[in-house]
Amino acid sequence: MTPRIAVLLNTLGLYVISVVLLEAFVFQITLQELPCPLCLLQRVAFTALAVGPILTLRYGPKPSHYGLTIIAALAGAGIAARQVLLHIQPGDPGFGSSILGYHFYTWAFIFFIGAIAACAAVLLFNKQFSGRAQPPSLGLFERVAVWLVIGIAFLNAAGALIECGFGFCPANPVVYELLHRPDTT
Amino acid sequence: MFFAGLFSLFAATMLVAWFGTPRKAFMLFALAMVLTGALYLHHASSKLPLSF
Repeated sequence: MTPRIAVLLNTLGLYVISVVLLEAFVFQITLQELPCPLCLLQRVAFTALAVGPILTLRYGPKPSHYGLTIIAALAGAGIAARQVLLHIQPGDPGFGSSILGYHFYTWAFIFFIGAIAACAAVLLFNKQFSGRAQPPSLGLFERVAVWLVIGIAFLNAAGALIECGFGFCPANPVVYELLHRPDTT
Repeated sequence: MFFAGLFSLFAATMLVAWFGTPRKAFMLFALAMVLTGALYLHHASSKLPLSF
């Protein structure tokens, strides 16, 4: 695998992360389902996944960049696994809607494990690390991927602030704290 | 506010990864992951509706 192919794969990874985060945001708005703290933590872990690929795009492929992605994916998988276990009892309806038979946290767990497997697979190819220490030349496709995921991270920051307000998020949020006017009558 | 802070911190880490040095990005990443763990422990220790 050449450094060029590694950069392409990392770029595609950034687009996948962006699609996942955007899809969660769209479902939150269209289904009027507010994400719980564990759901938000999984989104944070998805955001953390993007740091390694951005470093690869900027400085070229290095094992340490994949290490960052694996650490973020392990954290995300742990958080998602906890939420799966909270609802594992037969008869439990789970939290929120499901898509293709699985709840979002189950999909998140599968995705995080897939990210670890993908990093392990890419790390098998040493040739990508043997290139000169020269930043790769990037086109519009790569630059859009970077700025898209950064923009979505800030979008999630705004969404979390509107949902949780200035304190800790409630365990089962039902209203957007910053938009909610308490009934004083 | 804490989640907004975490998202912003990771976004800042990405900006540092793009414009700054890898070393600074790694340090920010480590800080953000520690804070993520702390926030997870806070919520993991709060009462949640269990299914059993």
